[in-house]
Amino acid sequence: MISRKSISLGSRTITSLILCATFVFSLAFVDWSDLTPHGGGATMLEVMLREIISLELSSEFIKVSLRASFITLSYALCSISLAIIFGLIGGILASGGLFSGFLAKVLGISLFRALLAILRSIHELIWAWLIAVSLGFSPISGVIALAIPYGAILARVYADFLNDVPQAPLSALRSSGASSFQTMLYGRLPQAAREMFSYGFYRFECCVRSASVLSFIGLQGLGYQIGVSLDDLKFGEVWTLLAFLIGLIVLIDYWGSLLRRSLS
Amino acid sequence: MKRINFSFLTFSIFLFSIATISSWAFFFFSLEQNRGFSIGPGLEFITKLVGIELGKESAFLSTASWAKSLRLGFTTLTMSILAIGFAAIFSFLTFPFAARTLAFSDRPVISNPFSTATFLFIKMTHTVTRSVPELVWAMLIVFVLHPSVIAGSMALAFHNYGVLGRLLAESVENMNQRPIKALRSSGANSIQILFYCVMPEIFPKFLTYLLYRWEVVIRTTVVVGFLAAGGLGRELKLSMSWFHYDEVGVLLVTYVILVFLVDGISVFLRKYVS
Amino acid sequence: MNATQVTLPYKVESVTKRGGNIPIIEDISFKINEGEKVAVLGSSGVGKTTLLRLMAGELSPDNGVVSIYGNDSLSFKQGRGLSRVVGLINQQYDLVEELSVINNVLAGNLGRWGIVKSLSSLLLHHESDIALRALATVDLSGKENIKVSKLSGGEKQRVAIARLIVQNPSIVLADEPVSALDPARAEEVMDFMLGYVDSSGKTLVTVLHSLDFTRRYFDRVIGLRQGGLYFDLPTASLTEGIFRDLYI
Repeated sequence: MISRKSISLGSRTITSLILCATFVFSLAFVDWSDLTPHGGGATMLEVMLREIISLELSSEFIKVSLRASFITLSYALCSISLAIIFGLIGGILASGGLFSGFLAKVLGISLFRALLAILRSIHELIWAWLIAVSLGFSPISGVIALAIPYGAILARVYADFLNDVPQAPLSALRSSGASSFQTMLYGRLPQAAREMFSYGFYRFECCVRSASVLSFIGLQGLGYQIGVSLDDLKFGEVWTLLAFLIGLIVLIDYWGSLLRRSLS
Repeated sequence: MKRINFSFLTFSIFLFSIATISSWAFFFFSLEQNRGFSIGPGLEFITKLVGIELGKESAFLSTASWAKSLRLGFTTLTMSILAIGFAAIFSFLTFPFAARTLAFSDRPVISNPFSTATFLFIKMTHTVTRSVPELVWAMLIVFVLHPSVIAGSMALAFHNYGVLGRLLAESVENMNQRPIKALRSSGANSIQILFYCVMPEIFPKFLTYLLYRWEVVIRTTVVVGFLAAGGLGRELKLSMSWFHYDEVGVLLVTYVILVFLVDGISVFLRKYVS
Repeated sequence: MNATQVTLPYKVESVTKRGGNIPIIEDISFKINEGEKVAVLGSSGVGKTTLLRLMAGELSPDNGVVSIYGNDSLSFKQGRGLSRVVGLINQQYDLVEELSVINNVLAGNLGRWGIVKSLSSLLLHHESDIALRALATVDLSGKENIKVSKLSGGEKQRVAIARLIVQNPSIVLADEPVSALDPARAEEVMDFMLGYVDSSGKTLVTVLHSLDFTRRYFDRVIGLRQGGLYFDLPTASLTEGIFRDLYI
């Protein structure tokens, strides 16, 4: 007996169809004439592409690029270190592990998570801009501007990690008399540490990218130099700087994967 | 073996700490640059942001400004959908070529030089596009095209193409290899293995990555719009330059609502898919 | 006088395979005849899987030759060419978990089908009657459309056998096919596998651990010890003593 093949639409098929439909729908909103290059656009493109082959490689410019890379890296390190501190504090608080008692837990978690959600939703560059206007324009504001949203993202993810920890060791600790704080310290943190570290490093890589863009608004760094070279239409220099940026990212990414491999 | 791994970790932490401390030192010692730091204007800015300004009608109370803001929000949403859509299509088409386990066969035979070249090429496109930030792509595109919705979407799509491509290729490499080997011994060639083994497993992950990435894209779309591409971003810049901080407030609130909306849809669909 | 050379399913001649500098198996030689059922025994890590993979054409010997029906194992185009002759069953993870049972079973045809047919079959299920009959042989009728990930270990191995039936190779190689199953399921799967092999006259080479199964199902047994061939006997001649020697 041959059973009839039923074409059941799984959740994945439905979701894919919805997404495709949404995409096609959005295409209708595009003014396709915008795709034609403006006045000097086509020539500009040609120049840009040609200059990929003739990068600016003079020793003086290499020095400039190198210096800019280091500055961007420094910004990223400062911001991410601050963000990790925020993230740890925020994560511990938002996981609810410190609250005992049902009501306190629910209120505490919702409050902190809502706060984190709002902080996270604003892009770091908008933060940079807001902070520049309110706190003045300086390297410190740049660092703070990156640290706030990154801290919020780390806090949210850390809270999840701390919550998803295996429960058995925790109840063992509790039954031997540990308080919520001690359970957090001895039970949750050690178990979640590996994942937290791995994610933190991934965010560090993103932070380097963000720092490079941040520097575009005037703080020293790769973004700033790219802006300068673009203004002069020196595309060769732009490609060199991008090469340094790509190299920096690839390096950090490689370091991260080595670390991840050594941890597992 | 454990010994070596442990010292690599300690070495890394050590290196990282040294680098961080010196970075902080560097910033504290560039004092003259930090002269720009002042708290005063901050408070004034925040109050204006919330719409409290004497003698003027706050934008928070005007339906016109909310309506405009929502319309712009819709444009921004469209831009983000286009961006993630194009990124998804192209990354889905190219990821099999960038997976090491598919490009190189495991029999000690000279691997097809064609597949090695394709692998390197596609891998390079993924790496370059994801390392260059979206804003930089936007800056470059603006030299060629008019600032517009499609230009902004392209910039976002370039970057996310690389991100998704890399995520997918990694998923393939981390897959359980045994079914692949088993199918190969049943006689399947690479294309059959791709569709019978790789796609069924990767497709659900693809949907999750896509939705997750959309959450990131909607935030960045506003920033790209800043460069005059349109939507909330551009309006934000305009209002700021006119010092209409209350309008800025309205736009920011719309921005946050939009982000919450997209996050919500993404979380829901991600749960629905698994 | 030259007797008519009947090409043997297997002629393994002085085969050595190293892992790095250490030899995994060293200087092994034996022949296998059409329709024979051979068990391969030995302690863990002694090289049984390596030997099987050499016989499946997945590995190339560092020394010596593996001949399959008179042809060097390396001369077959990897995968496709060999799949008509040799079929392989592993301990587990043979199947694509995300696909339905019927699609996994139909995958046995992939060596014969072109690209278009393979792809359309995912939805249209070409030549399904053979596959359904195979599923009936292993007593899994009615489960065609279930996703493999939902099956038990024993059921999965039976699907793997069904796929082998569809693939229809002349030789079946099995690498500890029942080691991951409990005794009742293991016996069930062995019965199905041997039933198929007997009724179709295939040649069978199986790596296993159980002396009991060896005695019950196989005519001939090869024992590996410390990388070399320790014995090659008809099962009747295998004593408990010789068996235990393998594990010293």
